[in-house]
This record gives sequence, C-alpha cells and structure tokens, in this order.
Amino acid sequence: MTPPLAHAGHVLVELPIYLGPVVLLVVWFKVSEWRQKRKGEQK
Amino acid sequence: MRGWAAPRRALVAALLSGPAAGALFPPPASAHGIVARTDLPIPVWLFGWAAALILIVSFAALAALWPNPRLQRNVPRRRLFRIPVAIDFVVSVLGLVAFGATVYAGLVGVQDALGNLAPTVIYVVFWVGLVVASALFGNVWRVISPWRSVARAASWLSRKMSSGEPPAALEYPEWLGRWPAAIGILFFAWVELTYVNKDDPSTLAIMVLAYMVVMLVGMALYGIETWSERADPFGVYFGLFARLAPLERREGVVYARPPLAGAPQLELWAGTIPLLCVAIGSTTFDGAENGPLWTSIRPHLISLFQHLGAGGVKGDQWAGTVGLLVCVGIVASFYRLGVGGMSEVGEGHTPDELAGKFAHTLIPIAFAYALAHYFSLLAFQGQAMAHLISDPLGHGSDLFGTARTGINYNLISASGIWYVQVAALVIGHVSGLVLAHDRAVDMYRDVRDAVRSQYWMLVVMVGFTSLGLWLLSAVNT
Repeated sequence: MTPPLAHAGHVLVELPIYLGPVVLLVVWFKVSEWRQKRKGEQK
Repeated sequence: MRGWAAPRRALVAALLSGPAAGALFPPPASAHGIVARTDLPIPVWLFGWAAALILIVSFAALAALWPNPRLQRNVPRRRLFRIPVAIDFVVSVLGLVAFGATVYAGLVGVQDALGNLAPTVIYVVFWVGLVVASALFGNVWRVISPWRSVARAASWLSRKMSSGEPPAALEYPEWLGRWPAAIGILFFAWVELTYVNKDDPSTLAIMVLAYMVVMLVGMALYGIETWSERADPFGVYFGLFARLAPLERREGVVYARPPLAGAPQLELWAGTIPLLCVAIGSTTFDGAENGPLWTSIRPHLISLFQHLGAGGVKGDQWAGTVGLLVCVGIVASFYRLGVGGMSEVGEGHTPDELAGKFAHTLIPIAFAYALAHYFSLLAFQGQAMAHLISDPLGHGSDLFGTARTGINYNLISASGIWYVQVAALVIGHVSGLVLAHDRAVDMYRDVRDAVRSQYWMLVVMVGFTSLGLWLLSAVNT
C-alpha cells in the first residue's frame, strides 16, 4: 500500500501561496484586536 | 459504453489546465507532461491576490459609503409586464415534453453517455444551465418543473371532477425545513461525481422517474407550493439562485428589482445552511477531483476501502463519497469559523443566530462556484444539444436537420474561459460581501460594530475566492 504522492509537493507549495491573503487578513485582524484591547486597558 | 465523466473531465481539464497550469508551474508542469501554453499577462496565483485585493477594497468602500441597509426591506420594484396564462401553459407543456423525451431517450436510446440525449440534458442543461437561467431571469424552474405541472394538472382535474372540497394538505413539519432539499442535492452531487453508473442513460432515466414519483407523493401530502418551496431539491436549489436575479415574478406580473435584492428575504428554515454548504462543497469536490491533492489522497482511500472489502470500482466510489462529504464539511466549518469570529464583536449575537442571519450571503458564492467550475462545460457540451435534439436516441435519426452539427471549440479561448471564471468568482464574492454588509448595518446598533463584525466575513469571502481559484488553477496538474 504505497500510493503515489508525486503531486503532494506541489500542493504544499501552492496552497500557502493561494491562502496567503487569508492568513495575512487573519493576522492583521488579530493584531488590531490585540492593540485595541491594550488601548482599552491603558485607558 | 463510452463514459460521460471521463470525456467531460478531459474537456474541462484541457480547457482549464492550459492557461492555469501553464502560468502557475512552468517547470514542474512540464515535468509532469502537461503541455502548458498561455497568453495570460500575469501568473495565475497573482489573480488570487488581485481578487483578494478587490474584495478588500470593496469591503472598505462598503464601510465608507454604505451606512444604512438598502436591501433588507421596502426594496424598490418596477412593474414590467404581465405574463399571459397561455405562455405559462405552453412553457409547462414544453417542460413536460422535454422531461418525457429525456426519460424515453434514457430508457430506449443507445446506452452511450455522449450519444444519448439524457446525460447531456441532466448534467449540462438542467444541472448547470438552469442555475444560470435562474440567476439571470428569476425562478424559471417553477414554470418548467414537470412534476409541479403534473401535480397542478392533477389538482385541477380533481377539483373539476369531485363535488366536495379536496382533502386538506398535511402540515409540513417545521423541523424538516429545507433538509429534504439539502439531502436531495447531496444525493444528486454524489450521483454526478462518484456513483459508478453515473454515465448510464437508463439508470439516470429510472432515477428521474423515481424522483418524480417522490415529488408527486410529497406534493399530494403537503401541498404543491409548500413542497416546491421547501422540499423539492431542485425547486429549492434553483429558487435560491433566482433570489439573485434582477427580475421577480409575483402573481403573474414580472417586476424589475435591484440584483441580489431577493436574497435577504431568504427564510431561515431548518436545513438552509446545510443546503448552501452542499451546493458549494459539491462544486468544490468537483474541482478538487481534477487536482493534485485529490490525486494524491484518492489511492490511499481506495486501498483503505479495498482492505475493508469494497472491491473494484466500489472502492473508488467510497473514496469519492468521503471526498465529497469532507469538502462539504470544510465549507461548513469555514463558514462556522467566520460567524464564530463575528460573534466576538459586541452586542452579544450568538454564532447560531449569526449563522442563520448571514446564510443568504452564501447564495452568490454558490452561484460563483457553479458558474466558474461549469462554464466551459456549458459553453462547449451545451452545444451538443444541437445534434442531440435531432438524434436523441443515438440511432442516427435527423429530426430537425441538425444531427451533424458539431461543437465549436473556438467559441471561446482558454484564456477567455479563465477570465470568465475569475470574474465570476470575484463578482460572486463581492456580492456576498454586499449582502453581508447590508445585513450587518441592519442588525448592529453601532455602525462601527457592524463593520468590525464583517472583518470575519471578509476572511470567509477571501478564503472562498482563494479556494475557488486554487481549485481551478490546479485542474489536472
């Protein structure tokens, strides 16, 4: 049971390239959330 | 028997993989024997980033320029014209004739997926063509539907022939909602994508007949309109896309309305979200089936099922079933993550409440996915109808003199198809953002909270766009 995985490498390379905008957006929203929380705590 | 799925996949792959794979993987693609030639000006992955940018700019524009709800209630409608009853009657009869011809061809005609009328009518004209027609012209299926026509004719006859009141319809169970539609569409997708006899015209014809019997029984028990709106899988499915149309029909009169305006009125019946997830997930699996990820996973699954005793093609069928269900699950989880993120923003809305309130935003996504994935199939295999209506049984007849008409593969170039697909995905997801923003500014007391809540909807939309473009680009790589 040794299935062909010749294409898995491509997938691992492509998927992050396509999902890059999603990751960046999530990071951006999380950072803004954290900054807003910190601002609230300082006030 | 020549198979339907293989030529269909080959056609789609040939048309899609040229520009997509070629631009994305010049060296690796050629290493895998793919002939890649493209005249696209930028790499395919850059289309994904550009699409994400368009969504982000649209989001910002909505936040700045759309402070009040415009599509939730009192949407302006302009009366256009009344449709004469005779036209309805003629269209219903034509629908019945088409239904009869499809079933007859499936049962009696040559058992060849491409030579018989039935598979092309079912998989191309019906499954794809009616989605596009519904989104453009409104709920056309309501008039064409052969089971609805038969049920209405039977109801009219029984009223004429009996002297007393007809028995009242049973009350449709609230908990059932659109679940029958969700399960029905999932079953159809399963047949189309994984069932071993999906190519067999006679099997398809028998399934269509069985479907009609179930629909007629349901309509007899619960009423024609109730059953059509909630339980008839295709009635509900096409009805969803009709909500995007700029035309609406009410009591025989056609009205013009802003596009998308029908979507916010989507009733939050049980099973609505599963139905939309099935619509998007099944198209996702159809795209993934042709890509490298599924090619890698599939043999594992087939081996696993073969070890469990599913021999031959059954192992493949089970693998496909798992793939289909996983894709539907991924879509549902992604949506759930989005509404989960949204629920963290003020005013105490729960994820369950938000999932229902924003379910209609998935309609344009489902349409975008369907159009992007099946556009080339509709554009090319749709042309086969010209010769199939002249030779529906595949016996060499020439009823309308078009039996020798071929398919013009120069109708649209591979690049042209790619641009249509990208445009469909971008417009569909921007439409989803518009619907979500409009609902948010209606729901939230503070506009800033409304905009903040939509950060997560933006992530969902960008995610679905990226996934859609990745699937299209990965075809046959």
